This record gives sequence, C-alpha cells and structure tokens, in this order.
Amino acid sequence: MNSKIYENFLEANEIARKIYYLKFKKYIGIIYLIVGAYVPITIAVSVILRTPLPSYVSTYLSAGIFILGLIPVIFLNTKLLELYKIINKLNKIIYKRDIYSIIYNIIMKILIGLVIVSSFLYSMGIDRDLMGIGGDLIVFLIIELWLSYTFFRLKFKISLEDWLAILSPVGLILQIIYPYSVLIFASIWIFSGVVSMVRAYGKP
Amino acid sequence: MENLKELMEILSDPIFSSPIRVGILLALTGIKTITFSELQKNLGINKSTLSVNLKILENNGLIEIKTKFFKDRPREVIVITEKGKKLVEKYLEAILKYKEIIEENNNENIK
Repeated sequence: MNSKIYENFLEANEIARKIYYLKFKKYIGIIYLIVGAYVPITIAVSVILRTPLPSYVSTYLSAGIFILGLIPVIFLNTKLLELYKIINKLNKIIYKRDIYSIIYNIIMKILIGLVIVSSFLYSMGIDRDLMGIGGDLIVFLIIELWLSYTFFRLKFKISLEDWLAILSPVGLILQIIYPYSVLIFASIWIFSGVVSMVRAYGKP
Repeated sequence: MENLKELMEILSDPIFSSPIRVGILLALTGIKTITFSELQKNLGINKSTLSVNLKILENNGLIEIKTKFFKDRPREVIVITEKGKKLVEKYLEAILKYKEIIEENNNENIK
C-alpha cells in the first residue's frame, strides 16, 4: 500500500477547505447581515406603523419584510448545500465519530425539541407580545440549528464572530424585560457579518 | 468498488499524484466556479505552477477555463465539468475504500 496516496488526499483536503472556508465566510457573512438588519428594520416599521393604519397593513408589512429577508437566506443556503455535501464526504473519510459529533448530536436534539415546543407555544399564544417573542425564538432556534450543523458537524473553523453569532440568541430572554434589547443581537449579527465579509475578501 | 486492482487504477491516475490538482477538483466540486486570481490567492502558488496544473486538468476534460468580463476587465473563470465531477466521486469512493483496507491491515497486524 502506498501511503503517499492518502497523504496527497489529506493535503488536497486542506487546500480545498481553505477555498471552501473563504466562500463560506462570504455566504455566511451575507446571512449574518440580513438577519442582523431584519430586526432593526422590523422595529423601525413597527414604530412608523404606530400612526393609525389598518391592522392588516401592519401584518402584511411585517410578513413582507420577513419574506424579503428569507428569500436571499434560502438562496444562499442552496449555494451552501453543495459545499456541505462535499465536506460531509470528506469528513466521512477523515474523521471517526468523535466528541464533536456527540456534542453536535446532543445540541441538535435539544434545538429540535426547543423548536417544536416553542412552535406549539407560539400557536397557543394568547398574548400578542408573547407570540412575537415566540416567533422570534423559533426563527433564531432554526438559525441555531443551522449554525450548529455548520460549525460542529461540518467542522468549519469557528472564529470569534461566529461564536458571538452562535451565542447571541441566548440573550433573547432579555426581550421579556426590555423589548429593544433585541437590537443587541442584531448588532452582534451585523458585526459578525461585516467581520466575515472582511475575512472573505481580505488576505487568506 | 469491486476489487483492489480497480481501486489502485483509479488512485494511481497521474491526475491524483498532485495534491494541488486534487485540491482544485475537490474545491470546484463544492463551489462550482472560481476565478484564476482567487485560486492563486488561496493556494499561495505562483501563476505558472497554477497554469500548468490547470492545463493538465483542462486537457483531461475535467475543468473548463472560460474568459468572462467583469466591469470590462477579462477574468479567467474555472468551472468543473461533468466528467470532473464524476471522477471526483470515484476518487472519494476509492480513497474511502483504500483507507478502510489500510485500517483492516493495521488491525490484523496488531492481532
């Protein structure tokens, strides 16, 4: 058996991963920016809509902003999908089931459970503010599912800005005390987006 | 992957003797296209080395090098072909099998 064959593969894997990472930072940077911008835009619209407007206008506008943000996020995810497929194949060759896979599986199960529970609570909600928080929680939990898959399962390098983005939804609880605290999370995501884009377009 | 001979035939292909070439093919499988300058920047190799490796991949029908215009400036864009994608698939299957064989041999030696 020629060990050079496998050594070449490992070296090629490192080369490919460097390129994947920069593309990934570009896509995820845009997603961070979109998610970060969504919150302040929604708040701005809700402030504007305090002027007497029919309630259905407010509902359609909120839904419109959400869909406008969702479309590019879905588009970028389809681009990331090809990347995920090949990285999964490479990981299957290189890694055995390790501690990260176990941690990832636990995190995924907890998050899926939380999405189901919060979706249920959201659908049962009677208080409009509580429903709003429930809706935000579901969106952020779905993002958390995706981020945990990306970083823990696919083993992308986690930079400071990614850690901030991963951990920031925990602070959503603060919304119950002070609704505008959601802007802190938005700021973190915008910051993460800008730093990711700088990394993607800067020197490798 | 039916037998060892077929496995070694795939892995002994001169295309796979260079990590740079394999790295380019693997990268293109995930991202579809990349410009020459982006590739050079990420690989950290000189233009001529990259050109030689790209030419080998192009001559084997694994990639296509197209010239596209961005803001009136020509840029070389590298795209993986269907043949290239299929070869990468075969290569990854072969490497996985190869690794399994090595591990089996190592386990037997330990016993």
